[in-house]
Amino acid sequence: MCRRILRFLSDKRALSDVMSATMLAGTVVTLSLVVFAWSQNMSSNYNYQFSQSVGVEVDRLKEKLVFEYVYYTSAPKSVSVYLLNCGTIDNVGVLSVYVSNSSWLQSFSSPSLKFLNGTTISDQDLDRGEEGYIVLSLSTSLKDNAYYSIRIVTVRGATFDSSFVA
Amino acid sequence: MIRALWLKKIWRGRSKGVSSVIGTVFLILVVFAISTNVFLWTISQSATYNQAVKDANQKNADKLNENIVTSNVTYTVPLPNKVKVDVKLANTGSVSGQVINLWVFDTTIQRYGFNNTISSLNLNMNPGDVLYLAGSNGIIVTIEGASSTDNFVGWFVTARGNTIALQVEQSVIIANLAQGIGSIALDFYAFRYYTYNGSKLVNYPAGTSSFNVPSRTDVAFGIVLTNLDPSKQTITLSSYSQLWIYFPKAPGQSYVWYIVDVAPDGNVIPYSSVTIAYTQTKMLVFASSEVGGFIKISIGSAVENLPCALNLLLLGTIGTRDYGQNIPFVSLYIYKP
Repeated sequence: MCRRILRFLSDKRALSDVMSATMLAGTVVTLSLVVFAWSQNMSSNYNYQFSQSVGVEVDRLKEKLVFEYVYYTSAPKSVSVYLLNCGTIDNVGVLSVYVSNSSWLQSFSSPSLKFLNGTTISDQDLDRGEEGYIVLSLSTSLKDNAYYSIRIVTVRGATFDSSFVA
Repeated sequence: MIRALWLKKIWRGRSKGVSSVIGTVFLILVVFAISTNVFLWTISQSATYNQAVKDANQKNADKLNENIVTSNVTYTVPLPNKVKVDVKLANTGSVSGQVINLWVFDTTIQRYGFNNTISSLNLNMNPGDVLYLAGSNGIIVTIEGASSTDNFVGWFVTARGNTIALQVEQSVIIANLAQGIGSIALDFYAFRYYTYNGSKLVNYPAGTSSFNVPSRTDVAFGIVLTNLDPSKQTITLSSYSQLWIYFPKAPGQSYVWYIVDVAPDGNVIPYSSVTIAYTQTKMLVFASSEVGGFIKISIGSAVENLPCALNLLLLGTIGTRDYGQNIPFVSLYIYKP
């Protein structure tokens, strides 16, 4: 019995062919698994980025701000903008506001949001159904009875436009 | 068959090309798995986005279908800085609506105010619903410096973000002013008289709606008046305001009832003061033969079965000016009970 085992172990015929085939196959399998893992990782990253961008777009679609009233006063030079979040998503923050006409533009970044009773909104955003207002202090007086546009850009990137007569 | 040859090849020790076969199989599997994964994920994300677009479109459609209309709008200033809006709301759209805010702009003094607590009035309207917000249900908006002579515009805001303009109708048609005379209109169909039970008016405030009045019985009269002053000012009546009847067929026969106050239970009390704001309607009671007091009065037997004319002689102030108006045109028949 021991002699048979020793003979089997010392028999080198065709061993190199099996070994090389096994090693090659192993290498191929290993490389394939590596490539699969890498591809899987890449596709996961792509899926994640895609879902993120879709999520952002969906959230932006859900945002809806309406202008309840826009009022300009010449003393002090300011525009009061009263807003209502009638969309289907909370936390609508105002990133920037643009007041303009055909030859003039003034921008405002992150204006202070207040509730209609005058208190400052602590989280600086409007949840669903909430009303609030911002006061924009202008650098120049607006022309009487002239037509002006106002654009609000939210933190999520949605834009809402209105107009008023000074 | 190919698989069998391939296995036989390995079995016989001829393994050349096996790795490439395995590699190819793996490559195909990897490509298939990854592409399927990405494809399915993309499909699901696309479905999510499409659903969001559908929801947004549905909201826009609902917003377009919301149609709440206003009518019978009047603005009054019953108290300093308080603008009262009486309005009739009707939901003529196909979707329910919720009114959440009322804006009023005083174009005279260029100031505005709003009332965003009107949700407590439960202004939720199903299609076809009609709400009358008038009298004690009128909506108050605070505007510093507003007065009754100012001009106002207003609009409601709904939860969907629509704005509803307040449609002010012709506030005063001159022909409605007591047939063209004065600032107060008398409602003929609401004319009534009262008899007494002690010092209490019987069946107050309904009384007896009739132009046939009994003689030899203590009576009082209920007159419904509306302030339709074109200058929209409040009228305050003095204790000299009276109701006067006289008989063409019995010269010299006339009776006078002075204005009184009446407690909710019908007890007559001496007159103190009555103010009638613009568009406000009030019922006044004339019961006393004494100015500022209360002495009952009855119509004597000398004028039984005779018709008489009834005049209302109103005195007081309108805004800061004196006011006096004589409202005629009511006729009575005095019958023997």
